[in-house]
Amino acid sequence: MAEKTDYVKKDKPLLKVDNLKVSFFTPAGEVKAVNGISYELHENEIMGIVGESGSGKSVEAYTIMGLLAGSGKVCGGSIEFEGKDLLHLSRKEMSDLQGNEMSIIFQNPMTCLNPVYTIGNQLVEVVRRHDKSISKKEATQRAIDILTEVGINNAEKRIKQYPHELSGGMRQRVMIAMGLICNPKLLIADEPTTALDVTTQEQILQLMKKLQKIHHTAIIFITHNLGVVAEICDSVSVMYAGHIVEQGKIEDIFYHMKHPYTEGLIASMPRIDIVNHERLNPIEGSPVDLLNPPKGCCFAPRCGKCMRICQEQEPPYVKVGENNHISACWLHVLEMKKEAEKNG
Amino acid sequence: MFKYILKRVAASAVTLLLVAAITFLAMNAIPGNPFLDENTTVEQMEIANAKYGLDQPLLVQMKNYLLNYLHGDMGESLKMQRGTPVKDIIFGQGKFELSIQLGVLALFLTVLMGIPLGCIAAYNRGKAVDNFLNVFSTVGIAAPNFVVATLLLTLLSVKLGILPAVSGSFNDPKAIIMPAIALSLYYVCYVAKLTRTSMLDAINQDYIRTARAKGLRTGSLIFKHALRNALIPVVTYLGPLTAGLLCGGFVVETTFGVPGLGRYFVSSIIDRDYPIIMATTIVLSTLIIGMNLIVDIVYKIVDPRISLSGTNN
Amino acid sequence: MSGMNWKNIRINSPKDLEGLTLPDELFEPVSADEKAKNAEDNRKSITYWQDAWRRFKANTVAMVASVVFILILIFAFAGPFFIPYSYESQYRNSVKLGPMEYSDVELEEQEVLKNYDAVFCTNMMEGSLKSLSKGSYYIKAGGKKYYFTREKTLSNSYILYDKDTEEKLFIASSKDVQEDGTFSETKPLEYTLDAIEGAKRIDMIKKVVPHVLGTDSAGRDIMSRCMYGTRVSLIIGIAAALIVLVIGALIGSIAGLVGGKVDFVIMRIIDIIISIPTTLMVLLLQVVLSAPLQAWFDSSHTAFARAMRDLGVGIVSMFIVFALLYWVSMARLVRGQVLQLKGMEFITAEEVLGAEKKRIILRHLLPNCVGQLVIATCLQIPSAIFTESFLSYLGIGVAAPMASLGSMCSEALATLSVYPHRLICPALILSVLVLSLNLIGDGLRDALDPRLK
Repeated sequence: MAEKTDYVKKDKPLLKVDNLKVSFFTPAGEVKAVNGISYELHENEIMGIVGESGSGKSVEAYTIMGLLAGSGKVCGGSIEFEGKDLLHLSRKEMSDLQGNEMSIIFQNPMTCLNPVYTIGNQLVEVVRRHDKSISKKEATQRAIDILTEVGINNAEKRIKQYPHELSGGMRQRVMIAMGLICNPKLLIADEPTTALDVTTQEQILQLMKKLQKIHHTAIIFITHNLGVVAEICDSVSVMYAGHIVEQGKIEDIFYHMKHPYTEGLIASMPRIDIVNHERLNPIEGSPVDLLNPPKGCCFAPRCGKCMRICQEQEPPYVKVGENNHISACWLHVLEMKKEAEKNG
Repeated sequence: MFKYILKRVAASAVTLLLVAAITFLAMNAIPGNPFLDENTTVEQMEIANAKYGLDQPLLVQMKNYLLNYLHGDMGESLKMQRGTPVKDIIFGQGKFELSIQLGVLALFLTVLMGIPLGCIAAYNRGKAVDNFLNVFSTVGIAAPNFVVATLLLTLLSVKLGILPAVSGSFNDPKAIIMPAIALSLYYVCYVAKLTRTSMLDAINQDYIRTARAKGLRTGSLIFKHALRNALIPVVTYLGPLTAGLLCGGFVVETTFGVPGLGRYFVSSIIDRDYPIIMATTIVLSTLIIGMNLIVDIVYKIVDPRISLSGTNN
Repeated sequence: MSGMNWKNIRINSPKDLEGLTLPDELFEPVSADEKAKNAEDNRKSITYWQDAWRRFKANTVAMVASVVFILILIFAFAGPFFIPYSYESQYRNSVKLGPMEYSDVELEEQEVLKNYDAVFCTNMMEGSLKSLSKGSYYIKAGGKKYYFTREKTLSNSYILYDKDTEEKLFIASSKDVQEDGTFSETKPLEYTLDAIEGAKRIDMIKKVVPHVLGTDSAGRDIMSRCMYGTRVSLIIGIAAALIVLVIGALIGSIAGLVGGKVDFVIMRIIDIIISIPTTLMVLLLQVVLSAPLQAWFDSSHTAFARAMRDLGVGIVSMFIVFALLYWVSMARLVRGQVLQLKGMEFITAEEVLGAEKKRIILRHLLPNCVGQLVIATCLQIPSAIFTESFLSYLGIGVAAPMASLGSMCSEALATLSVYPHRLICPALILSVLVLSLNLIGDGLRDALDPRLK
């Protein structure tokens, strides 16, 4: 705990991801799912990661949680969590953090709970894993408490039920309870609402917001739904083809977006705050084939403002606003260049 | 749970009845009458008529025949042991016990070897142990049981002389070794492969990822979360396994000269001793269907998702 | 500039651009056409089958298994052309030979060929020249020495063939045999006899082929029986798998496509059939069907009936049982596939567009099921081969003179301690065949349905 306060004092980030690269080695070749992303997350902050399917959002989350499996390999960069280099922890050290200091909520609550054990069993298991001194009875009580907290009625009865006896929304609540039961400092929510219907989505979001206020957990909220991001996040990273293309505070991204991809995303989002309805503008083209990524900027093939250099070179990050609002696009470099020439 | 069991029992009874009916009708399709042979005298015919009601319609005959079975009357042997009640031949001469001994031993070997080997392979996926077990089980699955039986016979009995070539009874524990290995090798390999696959499948499931994200130890991950799910397909395989072991018994008993029911059944087929064929078919089917029933109930215990109404999937 | 990695640069203000060369032309917009061209270059899309083939090729085990399987195919189908022995002929002089052994007669003939210019023989009645001793009778004619073999004589006449041209030369009569073992008189050939057998014989003696794997107790060549047995096992396996495929796919697709009550009834039937012990039913039907099948074989003279008769009651009843009982898993598979596909958006889209049912089935359902069907059929073949060999081993499948790998193993059992190779050869071929088919099936599954991996 002393350590924790230290970090607050120095205002060090809780989580620091630096130039992280993750690849999958398939028979067809290397798939660079995450291709050098960096960001910092502070306590009590909710950061959104948006991007379309296959942009590397989930892979990145799994890498932080130490859940990368199969042919996935970290190819470079570092992840620091409370000053610990997660990529160089032993398996045991890592597993002591998992579910305890940091936890994750997955996309599909239907398949993420073990079908052959009761809810209670699966909740108690987490508590007892990370604190052996807790008796089974105490742990069960804690499970009941947390289930009640995430809005499950009749928790005493529910803990004796099997996952298939619960609805999707219920199961996602159980997943959230499981994530929060050890009071983690970091919670990664990997599209927690995608598999749910709209009304349930809204309930889950409100629940997460409420719980975050109570527990002060830092949250990484991964989604492809900009509406959800707008509702819950403090800052946003926009991902495309394994790159973060734009990063900034929520208002900056929504009202002062700079990157053509972000512009496209926002333009393709239905909004009720705009009175004169225009047609939605989808982004043309299709997502990048990560097996054969294009040379240069990965968004260039779909970009309406594509320039020659975009097809040759990956763009640098350019500071485009206050509060660390950055964007990776040659257009910004061009602007800077013009400005520099103007100034002499 | 009770309702479920009741339903399954009823379904099994229907299947058994159906098998008995098929057996009866199939036998009746044979020209002449399967219960009588060429030298039947008039008196014998009358006795048979009185007993089986051979002059009555087929359905009535079938009813009588099934009722007789329920009362334990399985008719008399026509050729193999002329005049001896089939019931005595099957149950009274130690044949059934011998076959069951062999089958149960092979079943234990299969389960106690196959499942751990599969787990070991899955846990060491891609390593030398896995590769070795993989090759071993792949080859084991490709070798029919009679090949294994005869090769064992050649090697251990003919060449090395360690074990007896003919297993007249299992009083000598040495005599049961080769038959049991020959009978179970294929299934050990199959179950090992099946366990490995379903174990790997289970390990790739989302809930295992959840369990990992909870920071659970490897042991708990494998034995608590993966194994129980992985065992579901293995449990369902126990039904076919029983059928396979019983029918594999025909070959193994023939090869090793075990005077069990399987070997006798094969002889009765070659000799066309119809009452024995029928009775053995029904006895073995009862065993297999009974095992399927047990499997269904165990399955229900292992996998809570099976609904109480009794419909699978 | 091309050498530098712009990605790691952070530009916070125009000042950061100082010292970096960024020519204006790099910032020219790219036209849509140019982009389209570029995109074309990037997209290296491959079809499902190309992808599957690529995966299959990368699978070393499956490729080796395929090669082995092809070798077995060559062995079974082309092999018989390279050995002069047939699977059913009983070579009386060559009973119970070990591998690569020659019979006494063959050794003698080989020896004789060194001393004589030609061999003659006829389809003479066997035994009429039994009294002749080794190599003692020959004919001198036209300055050449002709030797005759002891077997196959016809009345008292012998035809002489030229060793090299196989041309009929002379006919001799046994009454002309002289005491020194030569024939006194030879006449030019004036009447024709069936000389095919004789010609064959000469041919055989010219290059005495050893029985590579020896012969069995009836004097049949084991090598050629192995080839033949492999062929029988393969054909039975493939035929049974095809029967299962056709019936299973038909019933399964009807259940899936029609749905409703039909589907319900079919599924209940499948539920029942699946719990029937199939191997027992095979044996039972084998008993039941033998008489009617035999009657059919005897009465019918169609090519089909003859082919079935050659296979024997055991195998035909096995086919029937496969057709009656084994289709269920295939039907379930197909039904599942059809139902799954039917629910997919592209089928709905097609229906909305007003496509005919036939078109939907042929263009969409079928191609999407093919992968699964190929896998299931490929794995059905070894299981059918297993059943066949099981039956034949028990003595109720293929019967002599036909051979199958199972029946050969069973026959070899009697002489196991003396001639273990008679068991090992067919057993090995059977195991390798099943192994290769299993591995190919696994490879296909990995290649065609990567989700299952």
